[in-house]
Amino acid sequence: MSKFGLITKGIIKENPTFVLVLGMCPTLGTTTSAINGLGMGLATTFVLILSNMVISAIAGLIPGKVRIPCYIVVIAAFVTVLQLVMQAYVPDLYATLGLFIPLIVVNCIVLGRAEAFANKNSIVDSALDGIGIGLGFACSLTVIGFIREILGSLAVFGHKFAAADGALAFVLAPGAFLVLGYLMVLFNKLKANK
Amino acid sequence: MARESNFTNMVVTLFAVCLLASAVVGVVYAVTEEPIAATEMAKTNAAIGQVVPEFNNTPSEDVMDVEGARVYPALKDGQPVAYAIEAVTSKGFGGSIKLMVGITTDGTIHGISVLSHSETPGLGAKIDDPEGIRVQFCGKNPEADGFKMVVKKDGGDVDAITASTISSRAFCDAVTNAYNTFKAIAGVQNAGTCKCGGKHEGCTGSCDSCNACQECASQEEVLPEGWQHVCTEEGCFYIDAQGNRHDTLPQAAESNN
Repeated sequence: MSKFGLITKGIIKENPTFVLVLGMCPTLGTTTSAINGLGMGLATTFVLILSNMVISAIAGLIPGKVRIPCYIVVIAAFVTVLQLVMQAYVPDLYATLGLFIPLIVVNCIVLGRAEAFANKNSIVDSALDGIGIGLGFACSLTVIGFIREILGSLAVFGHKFAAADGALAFVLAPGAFLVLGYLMVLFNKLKANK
Repeated sequence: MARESNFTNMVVTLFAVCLLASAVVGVVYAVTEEPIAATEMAKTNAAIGQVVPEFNNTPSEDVMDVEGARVYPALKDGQPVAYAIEAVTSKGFGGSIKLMVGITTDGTIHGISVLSHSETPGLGAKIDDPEGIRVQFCGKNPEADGFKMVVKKDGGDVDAITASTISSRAFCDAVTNAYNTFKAIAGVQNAGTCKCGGKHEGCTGSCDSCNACQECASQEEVLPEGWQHVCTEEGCFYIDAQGNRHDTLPQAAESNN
């Protein structure tokens, strides 16, 4: 597979949200606005790229039976680093995402890519896979957040375009499921038509 | 691909991975510790600035601990003008809500700022709206105005946020906690302003509520500047501006100077 293909497959063919349906907790939890979705997506991408690279590098040294605990420790270390760095240098983003950052550790996508891709491929390929899957995740979250924000708060990226209140259901959990479900239908229909 | 697993290499690998990971986290922690503390401090000072009138000290350096709550006194030329009180309630819909409540020395709520909350976005999160529920409290003196810091549904004077009664109740609860903390401070601080210095049994700091001092106070008297009337169970005396004790007030002619 070409290097470029490694990136694009994560965005469309193996889109983590709409096709693999992994990492649903942050997907449903953080997408109350487009900017939150984007922030969460980029934070996950960062962890995904670094953990993929490190795991790809150390996979040969790790005994098979303890690989999962080792991966989790690596991922958790990166998440903690990310959390501290965000807290120190982008406190505003940390204030909105803070609660969900530690949850990246248990995001199935990160461990899933480590297990399904990074431990069998080279460091460069693993990094590209991380970028692709990460961007796919970030795009999906931003789109869900964008739609929920328009319907729920009548705003686009935090700028209100109407004074009234939106349909509250879309800010709450049911709206997250509705938007996710319809987007999944649409995404898979478009993909099937290709 | 993965190596053969045996007891020794599993233990060694796990140990090495954990050691390396904790070393990395430790280094990052050491590097970010200072900026994080600075950010927190800046956030606290910004919140204090929003809720109290003009001051010229650094409240975060004069922080006091009153009954477990953090209180930042805002001083102007050394005199307290207001207190910024950090108040927490655990009654929020999504967890605890932390507020910074500014109360001036006369007991008026000057401003409120939300430090942290986990309320539902679009509903309870409106407690953080600058024009929202907090406006109802600003400029109110709960004791003097008889302003009841409870939502209308519960018989109070606060309009709850639509569809967010629980968050509104929690907000009221946090402000009430802050006000109680203020009363605790005021009780201590005002002990000196009551003639008896808070010595009489049942004196809560104000001479209006101190029965023993009411008797002294009924003897209408004008104190020269800097003088204090000290009322003890053995009788009353006066302390002048230099701290000397006098049993009687000076002549009217002197005090007019």
